[in-house]
Amino acid sequence: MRSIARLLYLYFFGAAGLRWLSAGGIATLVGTITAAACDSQWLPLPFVSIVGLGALFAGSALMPVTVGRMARGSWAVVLPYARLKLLVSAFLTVLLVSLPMLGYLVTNMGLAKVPPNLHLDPAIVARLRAENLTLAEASWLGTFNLFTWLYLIVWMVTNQRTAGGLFRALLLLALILYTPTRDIAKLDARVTEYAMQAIGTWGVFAVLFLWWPRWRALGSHVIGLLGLSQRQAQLPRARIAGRATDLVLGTARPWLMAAAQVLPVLLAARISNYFPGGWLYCLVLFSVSSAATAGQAAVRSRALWLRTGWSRAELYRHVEWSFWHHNFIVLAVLLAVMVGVGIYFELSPRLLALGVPLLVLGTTLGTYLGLMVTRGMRWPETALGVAVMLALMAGAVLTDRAQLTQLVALLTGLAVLALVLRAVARRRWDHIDWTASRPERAIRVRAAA
Amino acid sequence: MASGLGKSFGARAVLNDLSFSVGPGEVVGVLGKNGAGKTTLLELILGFTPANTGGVQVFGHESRRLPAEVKTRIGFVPQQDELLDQLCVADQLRLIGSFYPRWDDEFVASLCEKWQVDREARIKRMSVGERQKLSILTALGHRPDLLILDEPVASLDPVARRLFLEELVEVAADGRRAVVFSSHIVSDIERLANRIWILKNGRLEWQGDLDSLKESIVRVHLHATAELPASLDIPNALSVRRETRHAVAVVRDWTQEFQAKLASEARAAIEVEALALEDIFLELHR
Repeated sequence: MRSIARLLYLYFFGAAGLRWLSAGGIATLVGTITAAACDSQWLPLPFVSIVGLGALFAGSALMPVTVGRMARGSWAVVLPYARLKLLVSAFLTVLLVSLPMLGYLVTNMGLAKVPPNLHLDPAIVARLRAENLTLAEASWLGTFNLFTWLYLIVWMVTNQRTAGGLFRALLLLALILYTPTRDIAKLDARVTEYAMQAIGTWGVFAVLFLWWPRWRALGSHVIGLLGLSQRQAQLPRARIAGRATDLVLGTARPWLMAAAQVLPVLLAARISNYFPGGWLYCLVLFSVSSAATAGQAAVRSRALWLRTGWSRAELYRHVEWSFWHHNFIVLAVLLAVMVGVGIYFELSPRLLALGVPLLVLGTTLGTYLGLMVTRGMRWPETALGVAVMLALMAGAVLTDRAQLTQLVALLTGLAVLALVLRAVARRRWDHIDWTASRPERAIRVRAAA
Repeated sequence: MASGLGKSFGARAVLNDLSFSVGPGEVVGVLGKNGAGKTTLLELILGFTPANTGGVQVFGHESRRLPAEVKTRIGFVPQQDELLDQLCVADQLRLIGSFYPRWDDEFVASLCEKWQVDREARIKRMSVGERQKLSILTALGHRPDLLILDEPVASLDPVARRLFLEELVEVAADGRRAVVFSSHIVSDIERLANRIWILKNGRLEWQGDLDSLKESIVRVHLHATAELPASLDIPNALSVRRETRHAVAVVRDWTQEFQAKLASEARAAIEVEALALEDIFLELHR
């Protein structure tokens, strides 16, 4: 129990920056629950509670990183009951992050007082309360499931920084965007179904996680039996062609990244039936996250600096060009898919017309946010990233509803921001210090097979 | 304790038919060239990976299925640390300590002071050597009965290395604990280990105590008054350099009987020179 408590404490308060997010999230949630219990009629209360929940989730982002890292290394083998404790701590984290939602919903919906001027039959009030409580339970379970998958995405993004990892993360993102938006559209409370989903998901996680060494050994055994490893060894090695700059920066294969996006985008297209704005945001999210791989540029550029005679300004120009070449192809594929899906599902021309600049801006902002990261992700970059994502979300979700002038103003603002970010990135690259921009220490990934 | 231990990665056999045992009070130094299989051997002992042949028993349990009680008696320092960059030193130590019922906070605090480890420092801002010290602390804090270290001193400066080695001597001094450590710094192994394992081509080329190794592998100088016989064959010679009336050979499995026989065959005076461990290692890998 001591180690689980310690793990939980570290997930929420271990990292210097994140602990303030956790504390802020807890304070906000306590405040909103108290306000709801006092029957506050303040309109932004639900929004504030969601912000608090988001802060608490972001504050505990150390959980997937820690669990992933410890499970892959020697500690999972050497420490007593390590896997079990890590699994329990992960489960409790999701529970703790989603529980305030239940508290808020129960106080706000289930225990709400009936205004004295309304003379309702007590039986009706009791039935309404019971239904509200059921709805609150269902919403909480839905939130629990959503956070489970969101943590998994964080794990994929932080532990598997490859095209494969991004593909899996985007695929999962498309699925979890689809499920809650479908539920919001239907507005039905299905406690049992959500509970079964939660039990099933965590059951499968537990079986996979606790016996992972055995699954790996079994996999290796099967591969050995089938002679696949020998066959694989005989296969000619795939050759990656391209300019040296692209190979060093990891931008030599844009088609791979583009292809990795197609399936998640098509899966997410199902949202477009009932929530076109949500689908558009999904596309924008993909465009930003794919472009943000430029965040690795500063670390990787050290090799270019050593082997070429470029000045820092020249280096930035080459790096910028390399990422634009890569991201342009990815963007072009995304735009083509958007138009194709839009025509197939007969989405509004306005949505498609505004979708084009949104995607272009998403890619541009993602690229320059990435290029700005010359000394690791710190507060300014994180805050900017969150602000950009919120602005893009507003633009995408409100495409069909807001006035055109408002949307044009938003897009113009984002375009100006992109120019500012480019200027900042360029300036940072003029003074890039590779001692402050070093690759993360190689994680020992020799898993307990 | 292991018998018939073998490990392959695909078609490549890394370890072949190894058998060994480690008892309380023993400090085993594992030597081998890069890629000789030192890390694989240590990981097999800890049950990280399944052996293809044979098996390892740790405190009477199969290494692949070590119960929690046994794990509390083992400490491990991997070649590359696995510290959590986002944490500070104190949090990292408290986290690892929370897994062990016998974690000794006072001992860890005293080591932190002795090794000048700042408990408030952020791990991601620490140098490689400082991280290595912390990694070692996480393995020592519960005073394990079996301490396994994979290249523990590679990143340490000479002062820290000396302090660490002194600590290791103290760990092993009470005669109840065992230490197995690999290192490329042969002088450290020579200073510390009382048993040596030398890995070569996937096999244990030598295992035994250091004194026996030094008595077994020696440099022999032959000084003859006449020309040495052309047919003179020095059995078990790892290397031979001969001139007309002199020869120098490094010989393994050296005994007094062998010396007398060679002296009569060569009609030469024989001078035996003991070798340093580093020389023995180099000779075995010629």
